[in-house]
Amino acid sequence: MQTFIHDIGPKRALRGIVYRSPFRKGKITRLRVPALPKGYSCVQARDIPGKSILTCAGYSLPILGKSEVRYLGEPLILFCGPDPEVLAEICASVELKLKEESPVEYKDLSGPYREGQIINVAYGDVDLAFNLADQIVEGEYRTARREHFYPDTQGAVADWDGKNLSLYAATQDPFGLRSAICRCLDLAPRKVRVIAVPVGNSMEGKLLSSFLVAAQASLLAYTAAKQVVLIYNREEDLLFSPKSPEFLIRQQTALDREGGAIAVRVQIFMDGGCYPPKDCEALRQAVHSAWGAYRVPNMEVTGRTLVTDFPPIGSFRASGRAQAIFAAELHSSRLEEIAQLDPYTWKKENLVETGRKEGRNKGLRPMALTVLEEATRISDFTRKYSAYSAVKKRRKTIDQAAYPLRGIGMSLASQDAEGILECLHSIEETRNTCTLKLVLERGKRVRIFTSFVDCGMGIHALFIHRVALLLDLDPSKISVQPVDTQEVPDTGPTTLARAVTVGLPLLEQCCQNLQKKRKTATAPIEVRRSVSLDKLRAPRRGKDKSRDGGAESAWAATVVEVELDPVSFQSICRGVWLVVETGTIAHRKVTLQILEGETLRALGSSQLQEYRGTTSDGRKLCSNTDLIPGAEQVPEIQVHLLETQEGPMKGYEQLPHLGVPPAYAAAVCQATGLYVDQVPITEEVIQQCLEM
Amino acid sequence: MPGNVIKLRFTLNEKQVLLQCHPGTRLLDILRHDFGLEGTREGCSQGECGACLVLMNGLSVNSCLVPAFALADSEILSIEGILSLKSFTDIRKSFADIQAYRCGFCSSGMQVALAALLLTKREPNADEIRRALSGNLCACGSYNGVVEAVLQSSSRKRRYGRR
Amino acid sequence: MKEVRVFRPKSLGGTLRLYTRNPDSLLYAGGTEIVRRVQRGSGRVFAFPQKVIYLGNVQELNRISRSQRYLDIGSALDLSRILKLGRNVLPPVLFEPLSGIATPAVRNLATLGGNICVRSCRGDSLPALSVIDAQLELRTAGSTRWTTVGSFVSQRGRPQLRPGEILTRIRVPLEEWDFALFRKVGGRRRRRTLSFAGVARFPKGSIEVLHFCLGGLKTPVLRVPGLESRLKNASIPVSTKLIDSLLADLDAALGSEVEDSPEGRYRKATARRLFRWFMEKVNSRSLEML
Repeated sequence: MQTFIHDIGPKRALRGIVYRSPFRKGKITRLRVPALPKGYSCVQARDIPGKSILTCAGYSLPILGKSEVRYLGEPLILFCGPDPEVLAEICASVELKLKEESPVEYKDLSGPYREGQIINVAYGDVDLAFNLADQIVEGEYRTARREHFYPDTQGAVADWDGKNLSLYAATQDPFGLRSAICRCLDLAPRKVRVIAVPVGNSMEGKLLSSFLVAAQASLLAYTAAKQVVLIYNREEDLLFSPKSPEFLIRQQTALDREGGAIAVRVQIFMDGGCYPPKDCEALRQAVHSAWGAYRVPNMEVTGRTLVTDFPPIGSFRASGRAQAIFAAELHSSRLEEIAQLDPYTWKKENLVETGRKEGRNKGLRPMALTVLEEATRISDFTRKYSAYSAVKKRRKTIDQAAYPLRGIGMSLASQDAEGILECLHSIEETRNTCTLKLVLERGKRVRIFTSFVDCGMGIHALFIHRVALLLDLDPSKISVQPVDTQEVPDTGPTTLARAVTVGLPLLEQCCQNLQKKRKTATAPIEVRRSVSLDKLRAPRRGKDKSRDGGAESAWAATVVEVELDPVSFQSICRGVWLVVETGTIAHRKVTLQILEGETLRALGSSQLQEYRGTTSDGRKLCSNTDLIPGAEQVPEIQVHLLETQEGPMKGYEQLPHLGVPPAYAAAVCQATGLYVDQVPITEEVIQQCLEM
Repeated sequence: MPGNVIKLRFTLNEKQVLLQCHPGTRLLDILRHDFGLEGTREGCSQGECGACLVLMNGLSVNSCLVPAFALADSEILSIEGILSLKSFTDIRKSFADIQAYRCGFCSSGMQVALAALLLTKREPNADEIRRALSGNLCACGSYNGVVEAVLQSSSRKRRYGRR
Repeated sequence: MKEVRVFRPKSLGGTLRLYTRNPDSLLYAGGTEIVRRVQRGSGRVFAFPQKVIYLGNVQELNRISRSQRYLDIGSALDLSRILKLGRNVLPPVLFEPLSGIATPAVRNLATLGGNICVRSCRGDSLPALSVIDAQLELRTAGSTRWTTVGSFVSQRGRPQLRPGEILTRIRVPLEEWDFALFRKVGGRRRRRTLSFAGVARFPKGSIEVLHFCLGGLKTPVLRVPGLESRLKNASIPVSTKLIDSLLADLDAALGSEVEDSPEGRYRKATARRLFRWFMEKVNSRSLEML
């Protein structure tokens, strides 16, 4: 059985609790802590010895609010002590007075906001192209703000012995966390030890909040000079943790007489929340993915982060890119209709470098075409699409249909290699070098030393499998060293893509070195390899300044078939077909499992579940999360891997999140005959579209 | 007896135990904190995710929903007890073979749900397995792997006979 | 930590006397709804009121008895045990909602009495119990009365229990219906679900009786007697013209049942679609029987 953060912490450790603002916005005029019983301590913002702003992967948050509150549930005070019930009573006795301000309630992101970061990308002459256009097609596409539902709540266990801090944390980036804690407590790195504990269901909003809870536990341990266990409860973790940001994307396409796209103008608005990131990778990804897998000769994209009164946002899987590809794919489905082409044909024709007029196959990306063709074939897409289109034409109105409504949708997307390297890069610190170590011990045992943690992505299994293969060893004799910053080198923050594109090559080089050394040296033999990220960042931007098409990008074509009940408009997924080209595959079984699981999660993010929670002060809150399908709701998912035994290994875990939502939305659009331009798609949304 | 504390006698993992606790203490916390049985996990705290499942008198229940006063004279089997059952060995092996779980957080709850099924049905089919797992949420989406593990285990039993 | 005193009576008589002496006690059977309401932020200890009467050991409340005409179900019996009766014994229109409540593990704890008495009166069983004219036995230490679901559930969504009263039995008529149907919309996806239960008998080509009930609106258990009486003696299959006219009646009944919001408009439209769909199913079934 895995040991999670909730399983760590002896009985004698103190328990921590966070006092959070019950107000949404305002200036603090009074914050009074009650008298504390013996053995209880508290920490406020003014007590933080070092930096009070936490930075992680470009996102920043105050560890504790000081003079103002910007979101409901913002942490204000930390308490620790032996009895959780007493701590709850202390929290209930805190006196907080606020000069409350009314948060601005925005219906959508098109309202007037303060702008944060702005990114512009343009090429060609967009204005001229629009002036010459035969037709202009416009669309507005939304992806809603959402919670990330995960069953394991966040927590950390910290111990300060007067000189050194030991920290157990469920984090994907132990060295990044160590730096953040050093900044917060104003300590040298050698005084802070981070031991990474398995992270349940990785990434998403957990990255920033794992840093936050660890910083809070560390501050409490530092103040109390004892071991402190701080575990968020279900309500506070779900309701007050960083969200996946809301996006509003406006697409305008200029078409020539034949219906070919000659220019695209895209405006991207991203909800930066109340603490918007200064340099947002998600926005950058969105801007550079604005026209998805397709080429157009003239393009102008403007992306804006908006400062709103909504809760803070965090780093989520494929953040920015997924939303942009959703908009691009859905918009392209409108263009398919105008051009009177089925999706497969339109996508094939528009994959060219410089537009349709330049010739069908010029600059075609072979892998993209291959996955598209294969997905079309295995899903029987063409026949089903025609059949459902015919049914849609004959049908009068969906709410009086006598039979389930069916539709099928397709999308094409790539997982960009460069983004993976930029991702999780702290703006305050340059960690340009990734290192991995192998030790061959007596008895043909090997230990792998890496900072990549086990986060449900099969990374450790992948590494063990690879070493066993390369060194011809029994896998049961290979292990991954527990991730402890005092024991392992910094291989960088953990993502599957990084593990595959950076970690595995380093591992292979270590294995080669080991093989050589084995011939002359006796165990134990240690080998270590490093790589500079600057060397890996090859120039990828072509004339069109997009990030697609690089040799390191993995491609996927996704087909989703749905059936909607005409009474309730609830949808069930009849099937998902995912064809993935991901270069050399390190471990087929792990790859298939990951892709299947992520497909299911991506389906859930296309739908919605309302989470009901009660805060510790008794308020009932409701929040939207992804729908986690149950065992009986798992559709048929077919994942085909197009394997090549040459070329680099590529990251692929984002592909379902890029491909499934737009394919799902396109399928719902066909099934209902309605233009549904947002995700998650709920029954209420379909009803609204029907009434329009 | 003062109202704050009750004396509870029940069977835990086939052993008689005696516990004094507040009557409103959750069974989940009794297992994790009073008995150190940390295999039972806290997920949603609302009885929806199944991470906290245990067997109570042979039936699966959410331990996050059971107060101490409901435990008197009952038989509780936590995941630790179930893992030591001979009848569950094959399932455990199958899971390990096909790496059925990803992060593993939901695995205890799933195994308890399956144990409850196997107490009533020796060789369940895929639909029955899915129905038994309908109260377990896996955020990693590993259901198909779990179903495959149970079916493989059944198939192995059919081929080689039961122990 | 607050002091909580837990009573564990073994007989119904003892329970009723206890409750009379301690009317501020919390009655606790499966508790699956109660514990969601009383959990505290620290999560470890349920914040129950000072007195709790635990019904899990009360024999009379934990059994089922059956006659030719009725099934009497103890209010503290867990749903799993009720469902073990199977579709051949339990009316199908009741079997469906009970088997769809929560998860298998929750059904091992949750009770039918709890589902009926839940504070918001949004238990899934209510529409089904209403359409089959189930009766609820309510007892105090000195009295017994029977009531219908419709009378038990107030307009404001609170169970109509008199001081000292406990729901002890649910009497389910074992009548034959030519057609019975239950449907729930929402489930885990939604804070508020919408449910529909309908039964009909139509011997000899006309509707002898038809009941339907919508659950989950502002009125927790919505029957439309006027609409039902219009269908009495209607020949089947029921004409499209009549169905459209009935839908107009339903619209009037639904007028104030939903809020003016996207969610409210969806629920209203879905309620209409559920009714139309039910009538179409009645028509199909009647044609099969001819």
